[in-house]
Amino acid sequence: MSSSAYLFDDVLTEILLRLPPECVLRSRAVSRRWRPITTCPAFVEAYSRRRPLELLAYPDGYRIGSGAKNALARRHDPPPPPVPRPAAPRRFLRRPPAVLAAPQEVPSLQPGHAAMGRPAVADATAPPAARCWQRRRGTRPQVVLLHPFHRRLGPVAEGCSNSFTSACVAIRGTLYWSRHPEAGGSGDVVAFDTVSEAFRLIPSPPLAGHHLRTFEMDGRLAVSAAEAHSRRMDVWALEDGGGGEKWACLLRVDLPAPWRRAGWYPSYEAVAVLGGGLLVVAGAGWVVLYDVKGKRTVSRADLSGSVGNMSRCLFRESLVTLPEADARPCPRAVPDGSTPSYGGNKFGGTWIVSNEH
Amino acid sequence: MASPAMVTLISSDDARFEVTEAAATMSQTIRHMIEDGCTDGGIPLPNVPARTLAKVLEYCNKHAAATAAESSAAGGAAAGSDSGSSSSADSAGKDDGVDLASFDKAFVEVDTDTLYDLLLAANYLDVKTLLDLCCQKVADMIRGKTPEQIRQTFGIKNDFSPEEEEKIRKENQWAFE
Repeated sequence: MSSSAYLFDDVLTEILLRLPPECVLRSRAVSRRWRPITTCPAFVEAYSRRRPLELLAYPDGYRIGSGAKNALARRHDPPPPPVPRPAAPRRFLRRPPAVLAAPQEVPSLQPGHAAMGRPAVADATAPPAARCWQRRRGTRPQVVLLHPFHRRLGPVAEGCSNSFTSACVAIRGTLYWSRHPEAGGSGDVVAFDTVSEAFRLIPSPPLAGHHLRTFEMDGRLAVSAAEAHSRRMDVWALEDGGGGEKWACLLRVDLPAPWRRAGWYPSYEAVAVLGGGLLVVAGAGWVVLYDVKGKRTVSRADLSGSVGNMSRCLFRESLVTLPEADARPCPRAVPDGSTPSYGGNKFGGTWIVSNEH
Repeated sequence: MASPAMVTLISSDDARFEVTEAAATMSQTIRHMIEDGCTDGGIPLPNVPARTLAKVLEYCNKHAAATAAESSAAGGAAAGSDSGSSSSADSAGKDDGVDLASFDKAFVEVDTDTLYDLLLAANYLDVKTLLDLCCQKVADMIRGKTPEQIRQTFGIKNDFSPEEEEKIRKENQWAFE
């Protein structure tokens, strides 16, 4: 039987797009005709775009390298999630991702770098322009355009008083920061248009004393607003109505009691909205998945054992492995799922929110 | 109510099928032909044999009827929205959904040759939901298999040299373990 000879390449493409990464990678070894179907750039890009948006949380200072990830991916038996909720559609798994995003999607996360942003594949309608803000400690903040080619646009904001910069959100070719030197301490949200390469300021929602965190919600800019020691968090979205942009309060979320007192830091901040309307909220000791429609906490993971802050990165699975140059060994981190030691302290390892079981 | 508009489809082996326009236009290819006014004397489909076309039309008839039932239920609910009668329409819609899902599942429980024929026809006729259904079915057949098992399932000859195959395995070693 050789019926598959009659399967056109475009049909085979449609079929292979529906498989998890390890199956696609295995399919490359089937025959000379099958291989180029999944190695061509168009397939690789379309594949990533179809994968669900996932969140990776890891302790600050933990180096993510492809070698480590691929080594970790050999484990097939993730330990049970800390708070098992069998009915939850998505839950926290403590497991390594098989393949992280392509290099152009998430740049190498090196010690001393903070890189946060949405992977390039997350927004198919966006022009292929800037995706990411990158900050190197001890140097002036810079905007770096990462896709399709690396381009440095900084340094920004000469003579500003506050050099602390929040994570950046990229929506349809515009980058947004809730805290950025360009605002000059005014508290405004800073927007950077990657086409005109110009900054502009957007007055923030009327929330004095709240910590604002920008993220993307349904293709719009949203901010979460919470106070320290509070269990309550509001979500505001920037709406493009007549007469310009206006903030509207979308949600008021009640969350679990914070694990630890966190000084100036807010109890909670929203990080992202994953597929199925799940709001990811990170905070003092917890990462919480909140169902926006059902208005309830679906799942949560206890990160209270982690040392310092957790870094997070959003990604979609990709068929592209980070280059080998990046694959240096991880510092005793999560080799086998047992709680590893790190700098003499315990931390919770790498967490990933996933559809898988 | 006027009887629904009908169109005639002609398979590659000259069998004629009379179907409602609603069912036929689930195929984007046929929809375009109708829009272009190429329907006189029936629409020839030279790439689809009668056996496969009958099966595709079984799918289209079922789904077009379900869509029609759903929209009339939704219309009824909208008309009587102030009386609280929408709950019955909702539950009817849900039953249809369950019914349709089990229909779809049974529909692709066929031998591989039939499945390929359906895939090619759905691709040529551009019936998106049917193409999705068939692709997912084949994807499920590939899932979890080694390259050798995939070759066996689909009757493919391994035309890599041992060195080439080893190199491909090494590229993404973890996927093969």
